[in-house]
Amino acid sequence: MNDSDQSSFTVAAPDETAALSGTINQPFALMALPGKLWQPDEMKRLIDLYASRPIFDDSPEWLIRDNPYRRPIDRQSIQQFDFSKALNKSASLGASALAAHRMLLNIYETDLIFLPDKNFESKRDDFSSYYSNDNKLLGELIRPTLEAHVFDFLNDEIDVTGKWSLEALRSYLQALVTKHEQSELEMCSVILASPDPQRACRALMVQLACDFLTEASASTRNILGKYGEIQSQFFKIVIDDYGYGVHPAKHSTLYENTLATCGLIAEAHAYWKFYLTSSLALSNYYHYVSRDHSKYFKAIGAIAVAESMFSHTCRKISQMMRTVFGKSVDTYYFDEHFHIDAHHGRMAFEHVVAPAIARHGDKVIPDIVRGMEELQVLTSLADEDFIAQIAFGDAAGELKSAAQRIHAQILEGELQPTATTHLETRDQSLVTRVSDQDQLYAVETGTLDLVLGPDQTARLGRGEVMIVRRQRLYGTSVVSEESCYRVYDLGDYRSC
Amino acid sequence: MLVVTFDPEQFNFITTGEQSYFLLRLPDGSLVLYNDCCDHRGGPLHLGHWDDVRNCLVCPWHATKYSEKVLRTHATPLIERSNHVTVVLDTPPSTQVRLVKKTILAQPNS
Repeated sequence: MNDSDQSSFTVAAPDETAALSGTINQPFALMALPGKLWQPDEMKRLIDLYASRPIFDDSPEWLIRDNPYRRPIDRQSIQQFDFSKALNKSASLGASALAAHRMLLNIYETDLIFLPDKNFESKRDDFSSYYSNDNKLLGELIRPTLEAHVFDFLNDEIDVTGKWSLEALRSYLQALVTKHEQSELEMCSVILASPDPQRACRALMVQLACDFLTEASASTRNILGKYGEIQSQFFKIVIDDYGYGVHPAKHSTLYENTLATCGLIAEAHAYWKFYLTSSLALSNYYHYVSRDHSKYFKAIGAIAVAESMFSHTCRKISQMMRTVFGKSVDTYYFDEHFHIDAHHGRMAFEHVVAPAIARHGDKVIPDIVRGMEELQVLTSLADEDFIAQIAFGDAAGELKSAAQRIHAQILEGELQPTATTHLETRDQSLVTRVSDQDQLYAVETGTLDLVLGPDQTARLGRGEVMIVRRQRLYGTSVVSEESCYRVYDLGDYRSC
Repeated sequence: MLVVTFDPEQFNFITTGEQSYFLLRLPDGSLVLYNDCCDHRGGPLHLGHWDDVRNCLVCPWHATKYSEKVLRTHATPLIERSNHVTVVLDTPPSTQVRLVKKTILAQPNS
């Protein structure tokens, strides 16, 4: 094929959408790079086509009950984003990252089996649509672009150089684990210091549910194929997570019990709309390195560091939960991991990582280190994101006071920020989003709830105002028959 | 082995026992930690210079050359993330470490 060659292509259309067709006019070399297969505007069209699939439509309720195929991705906002460029770290919790991660989790999880607890027949159409070739094919077409958008910043963030050996790697991992085990978990301290520790703790459980209710599913991608003794060792770790086929011992079952005793719903992705960008990013990362097997060595690095550090994390969370909820809470999920991940950390390093290096040479070590580091970057981001979200909810009163001062300046004409006016009714679809800058909400008529979490709202009546911080997840819900409100873009409100 | 984490803006030279290492930012932007002692006669490599034409570090004593590839493949294991670096030194963990900031004459574009 040369530059002048043109091939027709037709992309399988979503079930209820018109077919997309066009032409490819690309040199063959470019076609080897999935992300470069189409020009940005063509990729934008594919992403919009994916986002327009009815199963991803916005819905009129905040929680998605017993339907694991309904995964809203806020199509309206997706149309504004440019996914063709990689985000930098500071934008990695922003609006386009949230949208990309929602789509990516939808794409990755078509490889997993989800079934509702009840009334399958009433959900059969959604089931068929989610697992349809149309959905999977479209997802695969856009996946590399979305992955590059949200994960390429890790390449800039981390550099690994020098002549690595197994002993150097072992020393590095040991130093990491030692440092981690000597640390207090800041998110636990923040929960305990919150004015409402139970709500803050439930918020953490919701974030963890994104990954824990399908625990080890991404890792199972690494136990298929044929690659010798290491494969069987990896399998042992995964079957531990799956409770050796005993359902009550399966780790996701243990987590369901934890959720139930915290008063939370234990259905897969019931809290879909409340997953923070970073929680989705962590779940997606395991799929990202485990689905593309050229990233295998990154994957075993990430899993080795996660298994090695999770034991201490679980001990701290278990202690925190018992402080917050008392003896009634089921912490067995965390207690079990405190115990078993001490073994899994050793198993992952000594029986998977070390033999992989012995067999495939020291030159695989930088990839293993990179996997360890990338997971730590994302874990740190998740900690910061969660802590900022809790602080946001706890500071609702202060954000209302600050908004009053700034709103007065706007009304006086001293500040002239960009503003949009919204007129919405009670039956509006409910979406959660993040903004890339601080925004001021000012209600002109009716009553509006700013939804800050599954069990936290800030109600604004006529004339009331509040600031929503940059990159904080929130939704809006009209409580009166209708409401008119204005949204002002402030940049950083503290400089107003 | 000894694992040390530090801010490369603050420190660029490490001494552990009788060994010394210096940080060098290669032309492609990657950072390496290299043994300061020249393999030939022990010259202080950080006081050498960077040959832009041959793309190599030149020892100040006898002009022994270290290509970018050699520097990269023989450097000490290092991770650079955000504003800190972690290095793994082939020395017992109890060894005393001294971190200092020096002028690295061998730095490309210095």
